[in-house]
Amino acid sequence: MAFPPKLIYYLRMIGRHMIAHINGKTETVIQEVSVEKLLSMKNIDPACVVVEVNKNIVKREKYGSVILNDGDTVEILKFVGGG
Amino acid sequence: MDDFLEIGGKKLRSRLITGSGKYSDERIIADVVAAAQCDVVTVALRRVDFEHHGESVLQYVPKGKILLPNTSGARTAGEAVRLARLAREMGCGNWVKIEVIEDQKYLLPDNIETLKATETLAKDGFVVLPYVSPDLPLARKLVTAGAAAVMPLGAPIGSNRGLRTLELIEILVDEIELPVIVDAGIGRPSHAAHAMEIGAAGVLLNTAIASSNDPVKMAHAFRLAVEAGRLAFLAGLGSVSKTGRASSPLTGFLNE
Repeated sequence: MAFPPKLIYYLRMIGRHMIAHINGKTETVIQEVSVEKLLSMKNIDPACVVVEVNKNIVKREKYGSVILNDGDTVEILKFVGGG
Repeated sequence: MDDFLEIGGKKLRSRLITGSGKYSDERIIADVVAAAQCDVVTVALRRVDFEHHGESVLQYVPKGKILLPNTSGARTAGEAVRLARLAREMGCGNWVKIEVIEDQKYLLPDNIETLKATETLAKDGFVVLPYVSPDLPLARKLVTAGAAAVMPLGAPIGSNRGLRTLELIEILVDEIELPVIVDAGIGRPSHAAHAMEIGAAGVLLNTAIASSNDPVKMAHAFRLAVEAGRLAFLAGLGSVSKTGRASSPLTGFLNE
């Protein structure tokens, strides 16, 4: 979701949303979102990706229990063709 | 015939490793791999594009193949190690091709960073196949570091230029106990056959097949070339002479 900066400020003040840096882009996400929920919101099959939060690899079985914090950096990667 | 390529505790029947890159329609990968009859297929790791999120390339790689993720994108040993660990987390095995490239013009690998990454990842239990410029002292260090093979380039990635580093590859084949797999630059089946004839343990190629007008047919051609080259090596090539040596006796001619 891309909100104007002022709206992001107010949303963060209300406490419902926070910032996360996901695959190099800064996004606003709902607070207390788990990795599992984030993948589901982005329509990503958890079995096809690997996830890193703040440079720490998140094991697949922990997707439901790892909760993002404000300002977290998330990398979601998949296998693509390569030589 | 029991002529397996042994790497990382596995016995590979095929000495051809194929890439999965550069296909506009990835559905062809399944047919390419089937025609190549390879046992190992390389893949890369990239950020998911949430706007254009297609299927995973894995669904086009036939079951039972060994996946060889590369660390393409890494410019340092640290980045390569990070990518390797992420790739392993996918749950498809612990093989990794270390590819550390800062040079964007020739795509030549950084041998020093590759050695560092090999040391770390081999200790971390990976089956490490480092992609390097052929260099004997470096290769000896890769052996000590615990690499499972050494993968010297024939020519720049994607160039289809063949075995431009032939004599350096020959030195590695002669001096290094690990499998020497020529990776990068192979453009024709004859290049692959040549690599096998001089004693390479295998070849890895992607562009030569993907850039062909008929990748499936080309994959078949490469399979045959790798088998032919290997058979020739095992048979023992005849000696080379500067002068002619007749094929039939030099007596008993009709006009004597």
